[in-house]
Amino acid sequence: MKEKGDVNPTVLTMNIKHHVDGVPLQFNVQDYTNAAENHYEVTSLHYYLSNFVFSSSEGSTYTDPGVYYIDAADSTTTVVSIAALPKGTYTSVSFVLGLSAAQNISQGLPNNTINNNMEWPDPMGGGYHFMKFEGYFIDSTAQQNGFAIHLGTNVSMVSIELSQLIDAKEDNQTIDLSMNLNEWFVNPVRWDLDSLSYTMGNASAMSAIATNGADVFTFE
Amino acid sequence: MKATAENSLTLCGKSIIIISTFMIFFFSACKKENNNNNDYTPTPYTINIPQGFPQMAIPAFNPMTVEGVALGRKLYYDTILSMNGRSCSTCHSQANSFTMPDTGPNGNGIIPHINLGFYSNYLWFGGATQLDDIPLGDLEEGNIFLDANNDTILQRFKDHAQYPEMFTKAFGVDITQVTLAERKQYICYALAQFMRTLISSNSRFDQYVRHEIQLTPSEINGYIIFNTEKGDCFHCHGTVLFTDNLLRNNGIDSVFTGNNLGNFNVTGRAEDIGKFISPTLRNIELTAPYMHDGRFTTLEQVVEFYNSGVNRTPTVDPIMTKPGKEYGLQFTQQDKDDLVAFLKTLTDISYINNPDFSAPN
Repeated sequence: MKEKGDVNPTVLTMNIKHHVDGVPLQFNVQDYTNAAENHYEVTSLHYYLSNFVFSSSEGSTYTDPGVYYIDAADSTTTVVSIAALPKGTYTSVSFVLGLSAAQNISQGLPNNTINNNMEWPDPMGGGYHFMKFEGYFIDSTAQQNGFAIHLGTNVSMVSIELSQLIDAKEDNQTIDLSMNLNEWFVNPVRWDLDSLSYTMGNASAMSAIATNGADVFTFE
Repeated sequence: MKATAENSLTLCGKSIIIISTFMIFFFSACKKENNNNNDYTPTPYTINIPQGFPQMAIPAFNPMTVEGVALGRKLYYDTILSMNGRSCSTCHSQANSFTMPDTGPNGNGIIPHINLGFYSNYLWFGGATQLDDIPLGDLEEGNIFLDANNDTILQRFKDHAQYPEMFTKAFGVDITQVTLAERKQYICYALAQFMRTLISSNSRFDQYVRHEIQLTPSEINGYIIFNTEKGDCFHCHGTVLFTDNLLRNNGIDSVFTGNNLGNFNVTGRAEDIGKFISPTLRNIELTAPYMHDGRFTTLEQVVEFYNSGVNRTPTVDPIMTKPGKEYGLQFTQQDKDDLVAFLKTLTDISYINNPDFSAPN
């Protein structure tokens, strides 16, 4: 494919939204039910989006160099601005939840508190957490329990490709990109928090969750 | 007059930062208004950020200057702000990494002053996000720390041979003529500037990271326990600041009243019960007693708490309750010894001996 040049660019603003089967995410509310019928609440959700590639119907592509940290609880972080998208019409977008292998090394991102808090310690391989998704659920004994779904290491990078007509012929286009949290718990792996509520230190669990991540995002 | 004075504070204070280039212009306006002399030529102070540390966010409304740091340092060590003979340094002693080996008069531990300039959340209960405003609480009349008295502070400044000139050189104001609100704010700005210089980055661990020294096998094992799921300390106390600077319930309590309610005391939200700021572990060897209320006197007790004493409550952080660890982290005695040995590598002797941080002559 031909890489689009940086000619006549526009800014594409993506508002990152979070919901659970259509219900806007609220933190610290015990109100959600996943496919395994776990009742859960969310206390925090942090992740990186990166490596956005926009493909046009003519076969050209534009690769955005940005790495975007999202804290679903902080509206100052839930807007991704693609700063120099060549004007045109795009038919698909691919991106990564996490970081490329080249970016996922210790000190690979700028030193700031946000990135430092996402670090994946050197004794476990270095780099960064791709996602921290934490909360509580009601277990089979009706007790509240914690869960923490952390993704990290290159094998649990989540690749996402969405067919979407994006009309970016004019300046300053805006589009909503939404994550459905319940999709982390299903398709292809039906995830029962009662059986496994923590992914840390469990490579196969992280891989399974990463597989589920391919369809957590949709454009609206 | 009062309204004018408050507007003046806004001009002299936070609004200027909208366009910091105009700072001198605005300060000059304040200076003129306050009938000061014309020797306001502050010298920029450059903070050297240690390798691997994040950048420090210096607010544009309180730029670092040599004169501001010197003033803040003098105030920090001076009893002029109190009616009870205390200074900031009474409870924040350099020998103890700017805390003291006891709880404070409110029953909570004294937060060590170390690397504060890198943070954006302050105080055990949270709710404070601007270092430049933190000392305002201590300057309230009758505050339990300084028992401050505004009229007395003003008179002491008027009578003092150095402070009026130092404030003028630092901020371009006549500290004896500004409003009460301005006076307190300038005191805080100076203190904040000094506190931003209090950077610790030369512990044995830092030297190890810089490949200057080796750690012992026990310390290395402790480092690995700390930074893997075995100890799982890193999620809240990750490098390089050894704190995530966030509020969490670490499971220290099962019953919540008074100070133990933590962040709830600020927000009133049930989900914040028992949450406290994650403290830095830098110089932790020097800053006993531990936890928000100083209930533990040794690092061994702290490690044993995380090994076997975490309470499962509705707001305990999800990180604290991994299945398989309900009965503790299963540390051996060697693991515990190694973890404590690693924690002691975070001690920075040069920090507590740094003459730039000590009482000025």
